[in-house]
Amino acid sequence: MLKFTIRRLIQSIPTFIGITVLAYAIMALAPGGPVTLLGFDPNISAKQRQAMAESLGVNAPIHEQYVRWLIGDAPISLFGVTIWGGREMPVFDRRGNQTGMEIGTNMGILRGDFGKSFVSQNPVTEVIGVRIPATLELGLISLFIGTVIGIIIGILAAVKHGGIFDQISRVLAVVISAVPVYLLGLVLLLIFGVILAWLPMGNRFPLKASGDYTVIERVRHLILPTITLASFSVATFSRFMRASLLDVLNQDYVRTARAKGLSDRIVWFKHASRNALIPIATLLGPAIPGVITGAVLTETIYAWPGMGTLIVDSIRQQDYPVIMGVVMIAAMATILGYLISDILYAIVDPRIRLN
Amino acid sequence: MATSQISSPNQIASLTEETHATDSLTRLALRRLRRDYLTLAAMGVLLLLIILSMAAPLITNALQVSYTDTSPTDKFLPIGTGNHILGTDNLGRDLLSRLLYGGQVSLRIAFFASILSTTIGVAIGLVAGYYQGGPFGFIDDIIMWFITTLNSIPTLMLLILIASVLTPSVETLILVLTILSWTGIMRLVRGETLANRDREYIISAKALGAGPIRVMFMHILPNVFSVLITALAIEIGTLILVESALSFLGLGVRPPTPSWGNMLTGAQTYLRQGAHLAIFPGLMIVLTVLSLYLIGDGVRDAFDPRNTK
Amino acid sequence: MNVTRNMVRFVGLSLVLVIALSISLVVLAQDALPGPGEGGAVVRGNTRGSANLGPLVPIRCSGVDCADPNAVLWPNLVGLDPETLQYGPGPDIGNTLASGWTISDDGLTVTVNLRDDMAWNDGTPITAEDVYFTWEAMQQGQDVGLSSSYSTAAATLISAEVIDAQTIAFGVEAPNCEVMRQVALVPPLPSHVYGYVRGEEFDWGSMIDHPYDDAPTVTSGPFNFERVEPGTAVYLAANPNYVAPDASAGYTVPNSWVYVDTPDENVMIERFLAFQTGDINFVVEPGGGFEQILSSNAQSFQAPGRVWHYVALNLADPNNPQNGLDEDGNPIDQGHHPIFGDVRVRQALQHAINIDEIIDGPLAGYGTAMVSSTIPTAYTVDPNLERRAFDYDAARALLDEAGWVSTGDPLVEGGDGLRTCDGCMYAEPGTEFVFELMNVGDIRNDVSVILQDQFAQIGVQVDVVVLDFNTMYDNNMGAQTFDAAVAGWRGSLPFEPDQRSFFGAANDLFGEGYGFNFPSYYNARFEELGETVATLPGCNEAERVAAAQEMTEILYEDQPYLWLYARNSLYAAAPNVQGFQPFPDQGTWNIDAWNVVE
Repeated sequence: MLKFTIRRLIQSIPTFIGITVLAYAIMALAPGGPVTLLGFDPNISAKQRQAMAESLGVNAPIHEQYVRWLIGDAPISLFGVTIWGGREMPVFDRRGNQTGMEIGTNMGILRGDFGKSFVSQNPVTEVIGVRIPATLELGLISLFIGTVIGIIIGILAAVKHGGIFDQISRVLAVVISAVPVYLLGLVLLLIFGVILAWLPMGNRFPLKASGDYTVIERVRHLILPTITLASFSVATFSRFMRASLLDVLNQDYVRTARAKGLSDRIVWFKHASRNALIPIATLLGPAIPGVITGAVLTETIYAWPGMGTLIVDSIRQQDYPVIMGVVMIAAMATILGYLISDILYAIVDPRIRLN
Repeated sequence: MATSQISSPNQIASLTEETHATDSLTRLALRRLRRDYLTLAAMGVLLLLIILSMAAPLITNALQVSYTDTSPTDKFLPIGTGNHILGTDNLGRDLLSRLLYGGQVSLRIAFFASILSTTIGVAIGLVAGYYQGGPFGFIDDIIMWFITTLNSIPTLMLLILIASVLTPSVETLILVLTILSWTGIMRLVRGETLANRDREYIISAKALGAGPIRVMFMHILPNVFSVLITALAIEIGTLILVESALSFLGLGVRPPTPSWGNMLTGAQTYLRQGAHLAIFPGLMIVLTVLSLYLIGDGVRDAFDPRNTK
Repeated sequence: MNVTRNMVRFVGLSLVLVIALSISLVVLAQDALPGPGEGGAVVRGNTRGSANLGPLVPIRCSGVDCADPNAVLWPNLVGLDPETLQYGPGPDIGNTLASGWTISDDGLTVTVNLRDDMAWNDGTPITAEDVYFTWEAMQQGQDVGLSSSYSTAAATLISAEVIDAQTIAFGVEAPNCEVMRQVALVPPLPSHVYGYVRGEEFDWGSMIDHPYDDAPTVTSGPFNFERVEPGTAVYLAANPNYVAPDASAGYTVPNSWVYVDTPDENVMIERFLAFQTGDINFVVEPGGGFEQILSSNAQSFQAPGRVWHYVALNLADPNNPQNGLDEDGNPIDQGHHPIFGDVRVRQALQHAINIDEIIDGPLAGYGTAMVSSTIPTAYTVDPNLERRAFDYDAARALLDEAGWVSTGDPLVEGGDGLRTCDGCMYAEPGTEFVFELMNVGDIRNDVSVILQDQFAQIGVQVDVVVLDFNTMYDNNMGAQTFDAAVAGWRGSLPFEPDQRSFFGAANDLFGEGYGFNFPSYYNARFEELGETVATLPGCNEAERVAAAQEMTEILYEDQPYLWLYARNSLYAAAPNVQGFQPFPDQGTWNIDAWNVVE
């Protein structure tokens, strides 16, 4: 098992390199840069804007920027021995005249430094770090609720295969998947927030300067975004569970069990459902990146302070380091998700390990 | 949860891996489809929407309205004012004609992108699956590495990234959606090819002297046809949703070119002055996507050999 | 449909109820104004991503908008009179440190006298040392992470001298009548918090890592810093020691000032209009078509604002862009744009704009037509100059005269056929009058669509192109390869009469590091007048205004832009907010006297 895990880990290295190249290549094609947005002010001279671009390093050739982004400008030392002296960066005075050169301090993403946000000047890791808990909270709760409800509906639908519940749940599942997420979110917000005024219309906490929140307040803020996000997991998982369970029911051992006279309930829940859950377990791996990206629209509507709103804001402000940071973290979560999924599968089905 | 919607063709793949159509199966499936009234209704609705969109110039001419003419005195006209059957929008433009022309744009993007991505996916999937493990196995390895890389960046994020770089137009959106959606179909076809290539009928075709291209296109492809139709229908629906999601984030088709997505997004500002501005594009999106999903489901069920109905 | 209508009715009814209820509450509460910090929270909504705020400290704040929290945390050196929008001293103008200033006759020294009754919220008096500290920090540039909006002030004020605790003198690089604009950008910072002593060695890099940078707890405004919740809000709490300019209201009423970020504008407006306790109760300039709904449902204030939109026309040859001046400062002949090179064509297009249709249409009435380059609220506005009349016939006559003749079928019903060049000045005969009109989306796109309709009337075909912000400015306007673009400026406060940044030859730079004179406009007299406005010895106000007005007239005649409108700025507060009395561009000047009834 360990060997399998290590092999899979090594296999994801070329994928990781591919991701950095792909993501960077796309960003490099972006027109203009932060200087247009930050320096679009008649009070800032063309020379000062030029200096801004130079010190941000956005004028360098693309491959050079890519390498800088990967390994940084700061010197690399190993056991006290300097392997690489680092790169010199120009320094400018307030008028935009170059005053000299200095060795850079940026460490590069391979050393865990995603640079600084163009907008807030804070380290990207810090900017993203404070957003991760919110995304995880909303994403995991929605995923859990969506999975549980989806599986239950799927089992019930399969049990009464062809019955009214089956038909209604199938049609509803398709209808829900056909509704744009943001439309569902907006409608829920209008009904429960504006018209009925039962639930808060956004944010993770009530807007209190003191920062003391009760559990009830937090739960109330979670309800609408969770429903919005979970409805699609319910739709997906219920359909998948139903199909998977119907598959299992056609297999010989279930027929045998029934023929042996075991009661329906025992057959359904002890034998069939358990086996039908196996393919579902492998769906959970890829669901992890879904938690991050699926929340982009939901977070935007409900002003949920997670990575989704961060990437939307950052795109508006063309804050490249933050955009790249979020994309890289989402990509790494995806690799991890598939890894877990494969390992789960290997545990369930030992034949995989030999391959 | 956009990703789960987008990844649905893959899920279908695993559910239908055992499916391989023969002529009698096809006939059986068609007979089943004829009795599946829900799917037939969905096909009817979709066809109607397509025809209406295609006929947009005729309809607008007949009503003597235009989807571009602005008129500040006629803004937010309610449903059924004069020739404006569905009223007018915030600039006094006729809503019905914008809806029809918007349909042209949305459907064009989704259809072209999914047909392009299916073509690419089928071609690459056949090649990769056919050569997997053999002396030309490196082709499959390279393709799979590329796909894993592409799929490791969550789709919506990749879309956001690309859409923020390219200036969105109908053409660039088709391009972007194609680039990002061929991988699902490709995995599907590759899987089917792998499953079929060692079967007796392929081996005998090879023994009779059929070259790789002939084997791939004449023998393997027909067997994945039903799976492809299903995947294609769902793909088109998903792409319509994706286009509207991008519009919501301001990264979709740019107005004044209408699309259902940007019409719905733009209408949100005027929910209180003219709710109908949001209701109709929303309805169009839901109806179209629903029809496509139902068609996808129906076709899959019809071709499912285990289906005993 | 019925459901929606009922929904709307229901919403309307609840609005009426809420308003009635709050009015009765207001009446009841009138005789019992709460004490300092006892009123409810002012919650301001915005959609500018302010939740990824950088440092709040004024000279380091470079984010999209830390200016709003800044205004209520740190005192100004010189204040802006909310009514006249002119610089003025405290204590008449709230939270202003200067009690007056003098500019030496040679214009090279500005001496600022400071009040002695202001203190940081930890009790330390605010003195000239604090102002000097800020000035010296600004001189460090990159070392303290100086925000680019302060770099011009840092470069203009070349020296500073503390004369006594209440007096500081700045040396100015060159005489400039707008020097107070730069002096105003030196707010006092609490030097004692940083452990700075003038004349002693100080590690400027430590400013960046100082705890004060993340949590500026020592401030002096109506509010104190409380905390930042990333992705959500900035929280400020009432400062109990704050001294309001008006002694009768000498305290801060709102218990807190919450600056909340919502990523979606529609959602922000819905949240505001739901008027829920503790949620958004104040919004500023949301734009995007919400004006009407806000003013009919909430307390609102609108006035011509500082944001003005225009159509920039490229006057020079777009195939061979050049800078305005050569290395010796002499103007360069830049050729002519085939269509817009002729001033009669530009004037004809101006005649063809029905501005009322634009203002009543996409702007929903919330705009004010502009005559030339001066916004309607500017003190230099010329009341005698009238907007070029909307007159299709005049436009047609000018185009005929310029050699652009209508041919073929009408482009729109009742209009001219597409015009082609037949004896025009700068285009090949037979050239069609077709051009690309760019914009970056939003309301400017709606305006472009209407202009397209209006220009079609006179036989001019416009292709509307929507571009990304960077693409439009970097690759088209900045590169000076564009035809025309609907774009906008946000005027500075107070109004800057010297408009050479937009129309001066020195700012006619194309390509990387471009200047903002996109049309490649050049007029010698205009340059001369600009110099007068900026550096007139003695800075006689009347003479400067006269010169500024002449500049406006020149632009009116030469028409490097087609003039459109200034957007009205809008402030809206929930019905339960008392004391909401904005001035144009000064929505929260009396925020310390607001009372949110809960």
